[in-house]
Amino acid sequence: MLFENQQIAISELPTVEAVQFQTLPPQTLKLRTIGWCITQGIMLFLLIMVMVFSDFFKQKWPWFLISGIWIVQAIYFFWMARRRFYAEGYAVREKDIIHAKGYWLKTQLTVPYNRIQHVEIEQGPLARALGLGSISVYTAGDSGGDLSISGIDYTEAERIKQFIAQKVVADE
Amino acid sequence: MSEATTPFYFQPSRQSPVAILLILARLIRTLVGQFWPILILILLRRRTAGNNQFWVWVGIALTLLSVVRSLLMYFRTRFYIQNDEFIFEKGGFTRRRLTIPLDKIQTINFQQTFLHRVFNVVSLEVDTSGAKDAEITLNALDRAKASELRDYLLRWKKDNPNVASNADEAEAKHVPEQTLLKLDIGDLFRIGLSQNHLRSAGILLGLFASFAREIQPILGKSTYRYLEEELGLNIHFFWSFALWIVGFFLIVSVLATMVLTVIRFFDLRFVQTGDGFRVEAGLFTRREQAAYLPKIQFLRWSANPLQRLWGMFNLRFYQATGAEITRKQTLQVPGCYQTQIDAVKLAYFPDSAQIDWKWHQPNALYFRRRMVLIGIFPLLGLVLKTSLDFSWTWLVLCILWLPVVAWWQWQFFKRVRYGLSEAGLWVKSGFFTQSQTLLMWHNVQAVELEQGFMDARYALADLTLYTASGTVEIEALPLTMVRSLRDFVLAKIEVPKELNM
Repeated sequence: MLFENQQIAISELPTVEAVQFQTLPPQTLKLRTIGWCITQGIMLFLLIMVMVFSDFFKQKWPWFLISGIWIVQAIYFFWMARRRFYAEGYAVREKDIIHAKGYWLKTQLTVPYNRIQHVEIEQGPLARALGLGSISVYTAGDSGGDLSISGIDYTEAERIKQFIAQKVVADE
Repeated sequence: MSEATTPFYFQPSRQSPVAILLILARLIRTLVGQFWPILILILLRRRTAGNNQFWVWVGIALTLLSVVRSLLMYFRTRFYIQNDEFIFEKGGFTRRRLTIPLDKIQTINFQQTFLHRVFNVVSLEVDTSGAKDAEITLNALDRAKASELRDYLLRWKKDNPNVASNADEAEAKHVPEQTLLKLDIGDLFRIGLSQNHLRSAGILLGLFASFAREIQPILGKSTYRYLEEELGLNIHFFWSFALWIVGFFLIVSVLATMVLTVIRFFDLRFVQTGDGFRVEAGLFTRREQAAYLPKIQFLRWSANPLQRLWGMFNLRFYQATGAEITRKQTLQVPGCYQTQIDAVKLAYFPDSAQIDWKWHQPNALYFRRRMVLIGIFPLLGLVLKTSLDFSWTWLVLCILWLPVVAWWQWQFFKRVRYGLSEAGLWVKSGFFTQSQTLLMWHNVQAVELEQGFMDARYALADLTLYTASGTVEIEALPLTMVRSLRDFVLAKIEVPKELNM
């Protein structure tokens, strides 16, 4: 109904919807929870410093207010990390790679192999301890159409990189 | 002569000797640019301290060094073409040699500053699809030689179609060069006049109003009373004064834009070449920019009400410079008329005029989303401001805000159209400044389907199409349509290149 006069039959097109997305390994959730602990810890530390050394906190109510806000946002981000984790997934197909993510704003980015310039794998110290890494796929120009999956099994990332490299070479 | 048989570019050649001067000028400019604070310090100190002899020697040494470096750079810069490779030797104190396969060369641009024009030379810039530092810049080359070299490179590219570059379409028909557009003074005048002066004047008014408010407490209420009583001026004086100021700034803005427009677009020539377009323009610095068809990612042309009155458009080519170069290049041609737009459309997207476009409008959620962003959020701020610091002006603004934004956004929303076809996308949008975008699917590099939580409720989605030179977006269309469109675009670009054409 969308396109009538065409060589490619719509019904025969491979659809992204039929794809089974690969979820991220459970260690990633662990990694992100550690990240959450670190940021929240730093924030809490700074807050306490301010509260201890500021005259404003001689009264009682600001304590309740500020700690209330801190608790609410900490719970929110803890919850969101989980929501985001379960919403995230990727799929390596024959001709492209798909990355789905987001809770409030769900996005699915698809990059065909024949548009890829290079692939990068990164691994931070914490991720290394958990055997994780992140893979980034870059396209030409500054379009921002770059795909980056962080918190993926390191060996898996290596395999994907190999696979894409093969595909990119075969394409040329 | 032997020159007739073997063109200069097959033997190691140097630039025009004018290059020495230009290199020197640039060196001095960078030196001054880097060290001007020190220079000023020295100049100020001279009066007090006696030992400026040291600095004179430093100055002389630096000048000598610059001259030596310029000479070295001139004599060590050589270029030639050998075995289908462009070889470029350069260096001042360190030497480098670049070898660039001719098929990697993407664009060749000429540029002329005022100095270049005095000596009738051009600087030549060769963009490649390789790493970033593999760009070649020749400081000065005789115009005739430069054209000869460019012609040779372009001819070579045509004779050896796409070894590595995706220049499939480039070899299309060989169209002789054809000037599409020449801007005369009247056109320049219209371009300058049709820029958005209201916006600049509005910004100035805002600045002025806030400034007036700021100084009131400093001067005290008495200032206004003094003005009122002693000079017989009342509060209307302020507003009429403000109006005068706005008028003044409007005139200044118009004049400044006029001057800038003339400097930038003087004697603009918009030429259609066999494989793309070329724009030459400028009063002092004459720039020559080229857009090669295979590099053009998408086209966008727009017109504000004044420009629509004159039937003018501002055309922009969005093109990728090189495969891996991470900067985008847009090429702007102001003052185009419909005929030029049609010619460009025909070249970039040959069947865009004949094929039937399926036009779609976004869902009303598009309007509501923009209302929340531009209408409700600022209104909350306005209400807060008014309730904290009451004044009638703010209250009027509060009351008028929503209806005005609603009207404006509704007009905007009504005009958004997404044209879909088998080969590409055509977006029309805008109320005051109406713009159109034309994108061919094969320029797409990545596709992103987005669905916010409100979209999900109405089964809608957005689609972002990434190209090598920016993005084009489709908003608030039914999810099923967006999905099938995404699958279609992917299928379209995942076909191997040979089959695609």
